Amino acid sequence: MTISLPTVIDRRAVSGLAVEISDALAKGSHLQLDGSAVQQVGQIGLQLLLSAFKTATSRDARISITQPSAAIMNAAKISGTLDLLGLEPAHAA
Amino acid sequence: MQHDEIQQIFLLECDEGLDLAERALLACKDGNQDAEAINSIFRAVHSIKGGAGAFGFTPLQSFTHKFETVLQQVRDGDKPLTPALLTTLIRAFDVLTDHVSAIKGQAEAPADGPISAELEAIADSDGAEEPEPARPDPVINETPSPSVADDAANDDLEIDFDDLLADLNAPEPAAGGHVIHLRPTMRALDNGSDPLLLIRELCGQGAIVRTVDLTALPDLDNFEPEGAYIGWEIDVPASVPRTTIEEIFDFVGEACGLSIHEYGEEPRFTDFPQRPVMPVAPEAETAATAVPNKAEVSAPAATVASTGQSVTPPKTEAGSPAPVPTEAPAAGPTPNAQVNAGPVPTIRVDLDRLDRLVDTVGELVITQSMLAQRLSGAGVAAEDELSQLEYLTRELQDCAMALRAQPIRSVFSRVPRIVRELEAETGKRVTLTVEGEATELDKTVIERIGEPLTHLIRNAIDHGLEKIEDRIAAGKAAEGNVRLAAEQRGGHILISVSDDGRGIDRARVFQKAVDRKIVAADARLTDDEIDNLIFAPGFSTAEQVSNISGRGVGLDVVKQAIQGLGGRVSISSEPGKGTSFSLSLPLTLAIADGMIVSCGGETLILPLNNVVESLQAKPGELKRLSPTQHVINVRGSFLPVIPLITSLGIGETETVSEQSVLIVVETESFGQIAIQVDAIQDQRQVVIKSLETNFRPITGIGGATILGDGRIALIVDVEALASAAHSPRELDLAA
Repeated sequence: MTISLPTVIDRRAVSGLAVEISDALAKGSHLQLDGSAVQQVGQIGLQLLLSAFKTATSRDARISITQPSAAIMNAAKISGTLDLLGLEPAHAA
Repeated sequence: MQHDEIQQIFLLECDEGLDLAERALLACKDGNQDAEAINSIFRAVHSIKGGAGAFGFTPLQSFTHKFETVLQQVRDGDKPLTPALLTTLIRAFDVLTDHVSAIKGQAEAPADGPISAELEAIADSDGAEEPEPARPDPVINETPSPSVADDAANDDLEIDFDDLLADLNAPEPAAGGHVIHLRPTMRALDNGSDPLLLIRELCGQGAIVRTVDLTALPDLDNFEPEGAYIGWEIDVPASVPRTTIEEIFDFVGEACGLSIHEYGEEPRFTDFPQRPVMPVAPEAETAATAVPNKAEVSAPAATVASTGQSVTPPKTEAGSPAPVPTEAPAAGPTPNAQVNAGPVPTIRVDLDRLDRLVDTVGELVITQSMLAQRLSGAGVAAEDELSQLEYLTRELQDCAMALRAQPIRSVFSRVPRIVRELEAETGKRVTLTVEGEATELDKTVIERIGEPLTHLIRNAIDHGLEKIEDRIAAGKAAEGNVRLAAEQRGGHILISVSDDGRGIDRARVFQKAVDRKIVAADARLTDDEIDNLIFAPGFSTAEQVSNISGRGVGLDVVKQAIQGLGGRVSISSEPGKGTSFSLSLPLTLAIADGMIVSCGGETLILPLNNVVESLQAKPGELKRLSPTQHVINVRGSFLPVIPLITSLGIGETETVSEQSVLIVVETESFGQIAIQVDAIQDQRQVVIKSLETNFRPITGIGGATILGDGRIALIVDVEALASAAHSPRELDLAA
């Protein structure tokens, strides 16, 4: 199952996303978060993504971020969480 | 350490990882499937992925990522390791090997599309069904070896290349720098504040995130959008003054818990679980240069769940404080906890340095010999001291040579794949047995033995083993057996490649040799002589040329390659029962046993591994064919007599007589010949000096050595000598 992340992952977006991702993790064994459209992500969005990965682990589900945008890559990079989000440097190319 | 050096280490680690992974895969194939075997494979692939990412080998990284995903599912018990899945993993391993060869520049990048798709399909499947393997399932039966479990301690492939590269690329934390502890409070994100912007600003100054604290992070069910859950520990280089740091955080007020300390003075950061340093490039640099640290995690999700785990801190340079270790509240060992279980300490040494050491020891051996001779000549009695010196010199020499020795495992490890491929190409079924993988050979021999050995394996399967239906018709098992073995015998290594196939069809071989005018139609040859015809250049009995081994350029090339290493090839075959090729190789190319002979006032060395016997002709045994050609009857066989003095152009023609000293030597190309010399002086070990390196190549001379009296003695190339005697070509020693 795939969820497309919004252009801006701000507080308003996070509320809905948290529920949507949680529901999706409950349904499927492998959730893909399409990050191609994301243009802006700060600590709020970063926390959401990290929480999603933590939740997936606790539920024995799989999750990954596909096509991460440069905004996602930069946020993960400066925050030291690239690997925690399963992101590879090649994704930024 | 430079980038190239680190990359070289990575490539070496790749080889070691592939070796471990293959042995673990084959152990699984052999029914010895356990968690450690799966872990070994996973760790190897994971490490290669990490390094590939660090060095920007994108295709390799991408493929290993898919491979690793499936391995992780198997390791976690999400998918059972069925025979079909194991076959897929072995095929994926082969492609991974090709990828590694590609980044070494040894091959083109493999077309991994089909296997990648297969891996992805498996990863996305629920585990109930798996794609059927596209190839037959080969049977690889390795003899028990200290492979997987015993090598667990050597599985430390987790060299953190990201960290090493970061040492090169990232700002070096230097004395005078600062450590920042930043922990936003729950209300830190109110009013649109975003602490991440502050970190971005710091990173723009060259700061590095050392630790990420996720202990407060809730799961989604308890996630509050307005909460702030992440904390950081950040290294700031000395180039950034404290005032600059304070300016960056000037407006955070009480929204963030903030502390700034100089390196070495920061408080114990017990609230933060440690993770290796995450170097963060300045903002101006693009994400493409980012080198995330993956050494501590096996999977992203698992990492988030185990943020309380303590992981092995990375090495730090002087001036850079090591992360403070913390207690690990979560249970379960980390991957590094296992690999730190005490592997045998090793050190990588540049090969040039090693060769210099070996060379110097060789000089010492010569000097010791010269000293002994000089003292003896001067009547100085120092037997005890000389004896001790000789003993120590030999010990040192053995130790030095052992440094160049490598287990033949690196060569043997290629064979299972070759067998798999040949099974697929020929439709035959093969059980491969490998023995003596730990047998050690000189590095140069190891490097040059691969091709001939590969050809012998191909030959055994392609020509030696019958087709399945033929084997069954002959009352044999459908699966053919190929045995690859190595062992040390005295000063030589014996490698054998045996099969239980049809054996050599001597009538057919002989007819083919006649057809190709290799032998006369009325020649009467022994079985051994007929068997050896298959080593003749261009000889091939294949019904049709295949792309496996039937191009007629095979076994003669094998023979030449082995001879080039100072070794010999022999063959034994029994019709209907199989064929065995034996390669006898010297332990080292730097030292050889030689027979010292005199000829025309010169001292020459005949390699002892060529020497069969020495003799003087009895009356009637010498036969003259022409004024310059003689043969000698040695127990019924007539061997050509080659006067060394004229062959090498040392002096005038010398009459061959019954007083002549003859050395019977074995040659690969021309069988036995008798070399005429003036006298035999001695027999001893000699240190071989390359003429090509120190002078120029000379036909008929394989090298030189320095004798105990300081004189230089040339080492005769017996093969070239025999070849020249059989052709009008002149040897050029006299030139």
